[in-house]
Amino acid sequence: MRLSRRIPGLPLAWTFVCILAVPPLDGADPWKESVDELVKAIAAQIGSPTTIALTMRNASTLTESDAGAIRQALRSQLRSQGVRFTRADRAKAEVRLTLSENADGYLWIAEIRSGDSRQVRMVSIPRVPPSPASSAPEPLSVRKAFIFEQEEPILDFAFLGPETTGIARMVVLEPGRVVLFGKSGGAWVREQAFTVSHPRPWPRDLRGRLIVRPDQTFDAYLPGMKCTRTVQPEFRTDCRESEDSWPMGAGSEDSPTARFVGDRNFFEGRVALGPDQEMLLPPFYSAAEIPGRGGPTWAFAGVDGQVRLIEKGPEPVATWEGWGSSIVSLRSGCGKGAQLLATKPGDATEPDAVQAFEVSGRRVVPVSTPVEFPGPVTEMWPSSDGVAADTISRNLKTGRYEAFTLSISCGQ
Amino acid sequence: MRLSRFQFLAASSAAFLAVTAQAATRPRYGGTLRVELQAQVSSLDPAAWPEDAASTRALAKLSDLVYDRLVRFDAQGKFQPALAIRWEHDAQSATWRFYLRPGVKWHDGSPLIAADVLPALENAVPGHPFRPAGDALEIDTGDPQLDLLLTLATSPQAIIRHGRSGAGGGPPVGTGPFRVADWQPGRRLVLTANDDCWAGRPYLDAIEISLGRASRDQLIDLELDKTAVVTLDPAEARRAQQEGRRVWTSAPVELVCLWSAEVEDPRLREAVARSIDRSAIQKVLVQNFGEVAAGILPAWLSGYALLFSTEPNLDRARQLRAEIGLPAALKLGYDANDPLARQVADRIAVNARDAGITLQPIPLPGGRVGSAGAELFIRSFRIDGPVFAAATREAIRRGLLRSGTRDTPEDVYAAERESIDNFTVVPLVDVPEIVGLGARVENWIAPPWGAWRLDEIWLEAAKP
Repeated sequence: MRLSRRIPGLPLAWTFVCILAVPPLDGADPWKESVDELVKAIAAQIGSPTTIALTMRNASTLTESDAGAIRQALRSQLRSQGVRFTRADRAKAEVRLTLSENADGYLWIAEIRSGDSRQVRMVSIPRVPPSPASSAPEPLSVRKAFIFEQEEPILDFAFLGPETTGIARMVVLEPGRVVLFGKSGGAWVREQAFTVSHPRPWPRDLRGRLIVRPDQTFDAYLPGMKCTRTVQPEFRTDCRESEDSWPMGAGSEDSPTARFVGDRNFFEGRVALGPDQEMLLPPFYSAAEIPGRGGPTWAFAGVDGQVRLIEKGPEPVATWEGWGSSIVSLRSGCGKGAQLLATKPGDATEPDAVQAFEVSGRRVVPVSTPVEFPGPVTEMWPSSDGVAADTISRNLKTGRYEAFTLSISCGQ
Repeated sequence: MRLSRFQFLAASSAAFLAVTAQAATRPRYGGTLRVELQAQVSSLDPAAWPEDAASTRALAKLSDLVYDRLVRFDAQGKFQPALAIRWEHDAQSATWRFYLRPGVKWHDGSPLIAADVLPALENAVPGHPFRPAGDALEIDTGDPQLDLLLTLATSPQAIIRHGRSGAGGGPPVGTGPFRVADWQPGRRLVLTANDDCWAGRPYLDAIEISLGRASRDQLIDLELDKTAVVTLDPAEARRAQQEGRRVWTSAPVELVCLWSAEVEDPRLREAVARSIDRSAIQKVLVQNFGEVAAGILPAWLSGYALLFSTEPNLDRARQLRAEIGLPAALKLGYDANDPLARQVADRIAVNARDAGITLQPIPLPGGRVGSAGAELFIRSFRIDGPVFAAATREAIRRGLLRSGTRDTPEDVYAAERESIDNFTVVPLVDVPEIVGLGARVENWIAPPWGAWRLDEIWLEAAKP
């Protein structure tokens, strides 16, 4: 827990900090050990009992309230060592404390002057890791629910058997691995992992997709590879080289399919709409099916940055620019019944956002405010039931991969 | 003004869409990136350490494109597997074993085996060669080697194999993301994507690098869209910014300092140091890029630089000058190939004159300390990574810190204090690396210390 959260309303100015009754740091505080270490180093120089003049400055990115609490803790600890505080002209020693930081973390520096002697003592403290991304629902039409995070890249994730198990298991596709998680004490716990051996190096922007079935079996698609989990005659996961096309949309049996280019990060433009029915489009990153009375409409996010709206033939009925490369359609039952989610343009150095749109005739209309992410959205696939988007983002601050489900909230 | 829900929605949507057309989050494959560098690199062998600092830096950048190391830094400065997929050591860190990544191929298509790697690591730990151990490499030094990963992650420990045409013939062969397609030493390097790269084929099809281009010419080429990545001096960088161009700056990674150790009289060293207005150097010569240098290691790396004073004290300088009595005239050497070093030398000479000291700036080939005819030198010291211990080690190697300094902040601070208080080293300014970028360059993810990751960038599609 960050100190600033424990001391609501702590004023910024040091003078105010000094007179506030701040609760002592307890064992759960991230700074306690460091405060003890610094006090020990100072006490070894000045001896005790003694009197000192203590000044302090915060030259780090620590919040003023954190710095204030650290100062109080230091004063309290020094006092318990027999140190009394006074003005510089009456003190036996002057201690100037600087809260600084460097590439490794925080650096607390104590300059101790006593007569002609000048000593410097330093304590290094690793940075407190940022708290995990909030899973609080957005008060917007697009609801963002945090699922889990990890160091390893996540290509896709899916829940297994929600009807019978209440989403107690999850499968995660990582580069070169399929991992099964179970839920224990509210947290996802790794249960099993299956290695995916691949003869050629993976493409740099590696993508993958999971298609799960109600019986807890699934297919995992990777460039040039396919893994299948079976239950009969036994639970097993087998991987093989494969040029099988990947399902589009939510991945049901009758979903259109398209071939993924094995050493790249996009789909060929040849889309199989059904037996003997094919459509040739420019290469694309993602596709979304929008149900309609006269049959589905498809949106394709092309490699050339164009989004194409396709109805019955290969010629687009509308094209536009300015979206990112991930699009998904959701059946929400709100508004027109289905919405498109789209990432915003940008690259892997920028925070991302996802916004909901509706197709009205041949126009695309925004229907939500964008939902922000702390890094680029690296993948967004529709969930197997088509009502949510399984979304993965790389947090630019932590470098960790975070999994969310996005859904549409009606009437907000 | 309070926006209605509709207005807010419309405004946010407009913001969402009002981005460069054809931008996309997903990397785009293809295209040739044109890069210009000021340095004239004459060899692609990382072990052939160039004379001047600029060429050393440029060679490190080119090496990263063609070669791999056993271990590398990630953007957070943590060690990550590269050609070694994992490693282990004994309790004393004296015996290490590195397991080679399977399936890696040299650019000529031959498989990478342990025996190939040995020559490139011959001098990693002097006197203690690596030896093959099956698919792994082993080294037993008898002493703790706590810095071994640092050594392996930094130049010149790149894994190379000299070209079939023999040493000094064709460029060395690597396993990195790009292959050498054309190499004209000192002039031009053309690289093509390595389809078999273990880390995945890079997004770019090719990179064309022009060497020896002046900063001014590079900016003109950027303006004319003839190139997409340029290395700029502060003056051109400021101009580019004023024109609204994309300018990326690293953390301040290069210390420019005055080296006075050859001056015997400590009063004269102090007088010169006290006369220098570092703030003017940072504001005028470096155009407000970077920061006034207080310590030998930059503040972002050390955390304690703020304990050193940087204020000039002309009265004290004049007082010392008066105590010395004899005419004080010194020669101030600087690297003839470094325009900033020349400007700094001129500025220091002006400052020193105000204290009654005559400094005569003289250009020296390579600006090497100890060159005949100079007592003071303008030196530069470059930080190559985010690791405090590595920077400390390099500062010791360069003679800026006393040998034997342990790499704890307290000890390095004490060593810096010693060099600075006896005025043998006068830190002047910490300068960042400045890069101008074309509008189509996407995913520029250079870490703060200035290493480039051209294998991770891609080019936005050209507009019709």
